[in-house]
Amino acid sequence: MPNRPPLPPPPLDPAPLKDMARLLHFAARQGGRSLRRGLPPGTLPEPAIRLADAAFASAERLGKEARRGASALGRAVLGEDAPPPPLSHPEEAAAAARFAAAAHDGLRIALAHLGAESCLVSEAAAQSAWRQATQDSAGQSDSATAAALFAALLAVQAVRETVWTEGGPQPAGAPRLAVFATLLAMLAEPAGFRDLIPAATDIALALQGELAVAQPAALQAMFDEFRAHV
Amino acid sequence: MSEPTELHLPATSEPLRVAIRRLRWFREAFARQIAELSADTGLTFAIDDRALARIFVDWLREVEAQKPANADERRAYFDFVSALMLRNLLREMPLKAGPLPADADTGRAEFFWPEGFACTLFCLNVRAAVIEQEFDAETQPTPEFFSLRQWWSFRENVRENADAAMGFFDVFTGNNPEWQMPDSFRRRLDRALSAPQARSTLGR
Repeated sequence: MPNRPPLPPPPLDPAPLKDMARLLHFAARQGGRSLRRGLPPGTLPEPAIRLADAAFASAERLGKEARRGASALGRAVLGEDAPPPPLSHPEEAAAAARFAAAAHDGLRIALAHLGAESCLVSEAAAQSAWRQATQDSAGQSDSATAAALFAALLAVQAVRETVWTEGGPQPAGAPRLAVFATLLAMLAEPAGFRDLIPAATDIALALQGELAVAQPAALQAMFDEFRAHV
Repeated sequence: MSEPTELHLPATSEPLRVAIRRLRWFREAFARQIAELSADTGLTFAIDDRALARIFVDWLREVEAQKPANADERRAYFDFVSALMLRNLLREMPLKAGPLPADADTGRAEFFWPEGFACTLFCLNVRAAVIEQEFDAETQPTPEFFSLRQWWSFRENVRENADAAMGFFDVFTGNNPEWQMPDSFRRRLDRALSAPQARSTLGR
């Protein structure tokens, strides 16, 4: 009996690996910051200073390596700055992964524009939000899909952590604003949506009151109202 | 007063009437106007981009809500939306001027009311560019634009009621000002239709 050819390996889902690498980077940076804040220079004797410096350096190195690993993985699987899939065709190949990678970038840019010093966004959660929001979306408009994604991204808490600049503004409902801005930019111009995020974020800020209470139908109407005006 | 500063609008492949309704282009055009005015006068300004975005969003909604179905009303509508933009800019003022340059002549509008002058100039210049593109027509500010008395009255009235900005904008562009309900395009048109004299100046 001839040998059966080996089965192809299952497709690689890089999102959890990237999330882990980013979590390490985030934790290392935050840990380093906490150490520095907790141990101001001049308060320790010489051996302890050397020990603390070594700890800072290790944490930063670990974080940078993790970040590089996540970036390399992202480039290898999807290519650099890949656009999101069209929200009107959620059935496209690798749509969930493409959306999640783009949403990760978009949310980070939006949060930075709102004044965040750093943030942790989960690509795996964004992927899960895509699956939830698009499972019954055949035939619906892209703005209706965007409204469903808005709710799903918030429900899965795709924005995991945000660190705000000390003394800077902390806009109320920042994840909501960032999610709206990211989806609005994707609707406006998928290929160049990253460049549109600052303007989309300022539109979200201008609509802050409405966004806080908007139901899906109202959200869809807001996406339709502003997608041509970013 | 010197001639109004020219505005070199950002490049776009779209008609200006479309580009101006995109926040990115609108912000860039506004920033250019401020930079060009600063270069010409020595004035300095800080722009609040978030306030500008709020102004844009409010303006866009009003503009869309009052858009006429009749193509014959487009020219008057461009005048109206330009005046409406000025009203919204002056109402929420996204600019803060720095100290006047040492040689500033406060008998000139740009130094008498720098923020108001900058916003008015922007609206006049964008209106002029849109009208030139859409109707192949040139526009010039009226002599009132160069009168400090007008500017004094403009500033005082706007401080009491920002809606007054629309009437002054009409004065500066040679249109018949609507003082009672300036933010109603329909009212403006009805008045023009009921007064032949006014109709001849509407949309000049």
